[in-house]
Amino acid sequence: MAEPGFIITEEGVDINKAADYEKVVDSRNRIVEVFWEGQIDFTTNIGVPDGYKLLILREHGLGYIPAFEFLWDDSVLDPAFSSNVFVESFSANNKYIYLNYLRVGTTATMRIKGYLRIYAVPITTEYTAPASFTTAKDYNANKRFGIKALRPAEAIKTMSDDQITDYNLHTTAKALNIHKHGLAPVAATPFPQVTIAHNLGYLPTYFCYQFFTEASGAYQNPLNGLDGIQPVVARSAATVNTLSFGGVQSALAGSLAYLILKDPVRLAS
Amino acid sequence: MADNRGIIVARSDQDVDSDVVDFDSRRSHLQIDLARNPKHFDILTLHPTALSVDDINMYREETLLSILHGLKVTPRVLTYFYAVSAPGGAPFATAGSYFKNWFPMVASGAYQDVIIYTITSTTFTVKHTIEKFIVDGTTRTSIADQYNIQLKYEILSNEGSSDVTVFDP
Repeated sequence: MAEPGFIITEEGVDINKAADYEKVVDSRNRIVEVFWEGQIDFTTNIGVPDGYKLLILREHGLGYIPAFEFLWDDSVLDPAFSSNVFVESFSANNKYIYLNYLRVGTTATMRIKGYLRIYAVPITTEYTAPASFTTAKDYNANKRFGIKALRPAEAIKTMSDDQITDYNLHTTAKALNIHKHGLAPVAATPFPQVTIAHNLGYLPTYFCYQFFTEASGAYQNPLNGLDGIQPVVARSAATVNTLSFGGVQSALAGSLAYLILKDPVRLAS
Repeated sequence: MADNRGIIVARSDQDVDSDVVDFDSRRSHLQIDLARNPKHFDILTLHPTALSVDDINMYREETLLSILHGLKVTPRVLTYFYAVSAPGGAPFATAGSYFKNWFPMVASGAYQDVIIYTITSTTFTVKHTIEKFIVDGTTRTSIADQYNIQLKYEILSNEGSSDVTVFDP
């Protein structure tokens, strides 16, 4: 049975011979799709100062652990340290996105403002793109033919709108393709280190998270025993073939969940 | 309603109504406008200098890169800093280090010597900052000029947030 899908190539490129870097879209390539995104802005009671707490930022209900990011608006609160709240991290499991925090001051409420983006990417499952899709090259500036799809939220706009942020699909912009995602086990040593082979031939674009399970123990698991991920802060290094992370003790215990993307065009480096 | 039409390609062995599909034009995705000038995607070599701070001037900064992005929103930006080479005895970022969002050369209780970025509704800026945290009679001089640092930046055509601190190391 033929594989369903569609391909749009750059102008002048034979669709039957097009390499990955000559395509605007190839539906067989997995891209970083957004399941949900939007501004979050609310004020909530944060209880009494008696330890770390979980606050649900958003229910996603995907049934798998998705890659995500939260861009905190610093104008509202210094998210790392304040006189009232210490924000430990954000985390995700197969149903919710959480904020993990510790109240340390006297104020009983906290305002949370920022931009949450939940990706339709099951980051803890293993995926590697077919090798034939890995190459990038110089940008083709020809634009006589193309395709555009406005975002549903921008339906009031017309197709002559020149703001690419209003489009889900636009010939001028290239989608970031997924090269690889999955889990990498971290050696249980006092100074754990993990190295991921990507073999892209250039320094990669990546997202990474600590993956914890019920077996990780309460000290390492901010979700009170649920499987989930949280962004990880670690020393990192890279070559054109590998990406490495190092941490200390529980800062990088368990496994690392990673998402590595392909560059959309070739750059000298 | 525009969300009841679009192009959807199901993943193998999945139904088209599944949340896991190979392509759905109704959903946004991370994308970069490659036709922009100044470029929204590039790799550059940074040239920070040996800034000094003392007990009088405890904070100094220099702008290494400033780009008017021209988007109508504050965009999401991805930055990756790579140390091609590093000074001997560097306490944090050594040769081969590859940090997302920031580049820490010295990060101690006494002072911090780092490269960071900011993004606003108009401008993407990369800065070198050095800051003393304690008054101890000691002048601290940055080692940034002893590095060869490459920056890969990606100004996405996706909304971010103003005055951002990013929680996705």
